[in-house]
Amino acid sequence: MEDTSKRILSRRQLLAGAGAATATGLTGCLGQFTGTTSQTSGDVTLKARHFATSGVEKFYEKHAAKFEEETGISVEIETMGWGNAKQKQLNSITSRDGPDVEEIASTWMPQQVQSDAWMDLNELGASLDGVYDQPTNVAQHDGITAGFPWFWGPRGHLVHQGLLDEAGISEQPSSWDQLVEQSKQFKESFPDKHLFGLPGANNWAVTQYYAMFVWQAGGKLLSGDKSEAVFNSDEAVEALNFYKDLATKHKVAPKASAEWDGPARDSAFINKRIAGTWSSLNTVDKVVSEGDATRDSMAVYKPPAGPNGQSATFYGVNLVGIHPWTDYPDEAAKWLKYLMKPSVNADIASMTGFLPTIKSGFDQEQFSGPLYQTFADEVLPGAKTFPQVIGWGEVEGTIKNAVTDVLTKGVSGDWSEGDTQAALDKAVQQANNVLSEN
Amino acid sequence: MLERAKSGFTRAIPNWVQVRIPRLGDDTRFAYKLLLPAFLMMGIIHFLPIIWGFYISFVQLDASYVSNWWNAPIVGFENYAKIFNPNTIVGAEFWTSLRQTLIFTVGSVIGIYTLGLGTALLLNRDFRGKLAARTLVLVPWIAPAVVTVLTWQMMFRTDTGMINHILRSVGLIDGSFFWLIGPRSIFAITAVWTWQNFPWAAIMLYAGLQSIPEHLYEAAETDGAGRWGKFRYITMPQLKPVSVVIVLLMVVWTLINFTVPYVLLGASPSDSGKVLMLFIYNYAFSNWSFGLGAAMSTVLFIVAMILAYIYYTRVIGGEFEGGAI
Repeated sequence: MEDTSKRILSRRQLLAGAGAATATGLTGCLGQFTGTTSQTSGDVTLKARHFATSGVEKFYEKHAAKFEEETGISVEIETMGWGNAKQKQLNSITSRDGPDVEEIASTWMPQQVQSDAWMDLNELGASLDGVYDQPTNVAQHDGITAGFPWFWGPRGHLVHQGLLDEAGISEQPSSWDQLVEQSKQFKESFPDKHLFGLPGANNWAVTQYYAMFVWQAGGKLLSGDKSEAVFNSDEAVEALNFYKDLATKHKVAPKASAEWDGPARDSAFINKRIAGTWSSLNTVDKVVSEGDATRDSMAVYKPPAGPNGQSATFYGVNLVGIHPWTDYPDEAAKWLKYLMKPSVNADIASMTGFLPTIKSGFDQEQFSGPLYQTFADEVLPGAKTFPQVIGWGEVEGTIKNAVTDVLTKGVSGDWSEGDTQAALDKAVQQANNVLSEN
Repeated sequence: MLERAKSGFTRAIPNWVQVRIPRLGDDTRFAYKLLLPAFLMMGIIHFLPIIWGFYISFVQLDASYVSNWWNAPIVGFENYAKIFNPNTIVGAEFWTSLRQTLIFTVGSVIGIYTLGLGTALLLNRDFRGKLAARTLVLVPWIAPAVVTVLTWQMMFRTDTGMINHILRSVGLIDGSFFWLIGPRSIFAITAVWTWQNFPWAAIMLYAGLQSIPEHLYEAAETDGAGRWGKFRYITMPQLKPVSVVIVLLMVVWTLINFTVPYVLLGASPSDSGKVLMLFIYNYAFSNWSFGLGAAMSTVLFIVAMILAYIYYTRVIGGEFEGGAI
């Protein structure tokens, strides 16, 4: 007769093992939902989550240590890629759990404020005095100050000055017409290169470039009270047609730019296949580190003006806010106040390749070069951003569809008169449906 | 009270109903206990999200309720009404995406099956280096998807891509086509998905070919059947069961494919390449409209089920016996 006692024992062990493994697995799954704010040895440790922007970790190495020396509060950083950042923030907002302090992307803010994701900094005694008006307007939404504008990235007209000099182009293009004229001159010296280039249909930023053209043409995206979409006006149609014609009729940009995404444009600019583009200051760092250009061989100008003489540009701003579920609001407020010091603000801007949001940040040594001063004096005054309204994501989607449709038809030769107006009319109608629902 | 309830329950069951619960043996009970952790995990990981997704398709789960989703109001079929209404933003794009998804699916399945069958027939012949060829054929299927799709993206670029260069050099086109934007982007994703998956179909069909009894061909030859006759009356019928599996799985996998369109065309492609999975992801996560996103996912699930059902009932017609594999 078979002795089953050993077999039964091993089965029980197996069962117990399986149960333990399940419990361990479930505990592991649930681990991410437990509190992230920790208190070690009686000292407060704040958890901060940021986008994986180059330079942020280096900034924390320096300033978290300094802050701890000053206050005894330590700050731990976690970074998140742009690809999964929205999902991570959403998980935290849904579960009301996560880091104490977190970076905010300006375009996501209205939805997040509506979801009660951020504390009102006014209640914590934080002031935005000395911060540029534009980022301040972004930070203040729906009656609260949701975050401190940490750094911002207005788009300048960046050029390889060396190439322009070789082509005999000595002055910045002050208007769309001049850009087109300069392109003809540039082609005489460099038939295989192009004077200018922007990302095209394969990029979300296409809406930002379109907005720049609209503003330069004197148009608007939404009405003054933000209740109605108006990006099908004559100015807006002219703007989109000019965007399309850059790569087709005027040949200022390569035809292939219609399908560029951000990295493809960067690659063309780094390799000098295009002499100029619109981008934020950190692109200069990228060009210098990956190409053969130097900071001295590059220049920045304000973007050219449209038919009514306006030079306008787009900016994005990254803010830092405090989540309402934190156990340490006062300590988190202290950290934000530390970040608001002009020298500290200048440090993060300089380390990430963007611009300080505090005006006096430009007085700091890091921002004394001509590139920065041009940004401060010429580019920043014309900087605008998207309207901060609920449902903007959907509105932006309709704009993108219209713009990519026109750009694609343009380069494939399928565009005909009236197509631009029709595409924008359709987008405006859809956008108005969204705005009326919100 | 409990006793009364029990007796009432007993009285409610007619006498002619005999519920027989089979008595489980010790080993069977022990087996179920062993399976329980796995069932629990499957329930939590697989079935709970499906049920939850179905539930939130009837709920207004948007930015207002993300932080207190348990209070999100139930709106009945409102989300479904919105996605089926072509006059709303989501509705207009939903129908476009659904159409493109079906084109993508049909094109891919035809391509994968045809290429797979051709490759399997070639592999089934005797030649030197057959083992190496069989291994090489598998490369597209086993190579990391993101890497291969990014390589295809470079090949599809209008100015520097190899595809336009080849087409120009053989005289098929004059200028340069745009494959990653505009109306041709559906061809780009179909080509890449077909290329990635035909090896799997080829290996499955090759295994099927290997298991067809040789005497069937010998009998056919005796009856005077030529190559086409043997292929039509022996090979294809014998491959029917494995073909069913391939087509069914490819239909479902293609319908829910996200990686190829997302990596090749980006997050927000032209209408032509905007397949439903991409649109659902973008719409739900860009706009925080999870109720609408869940409604679209449910529709996609139902479409997949309907296609599978039609295929089973119309194409198979109950003849699922015999044959290879």
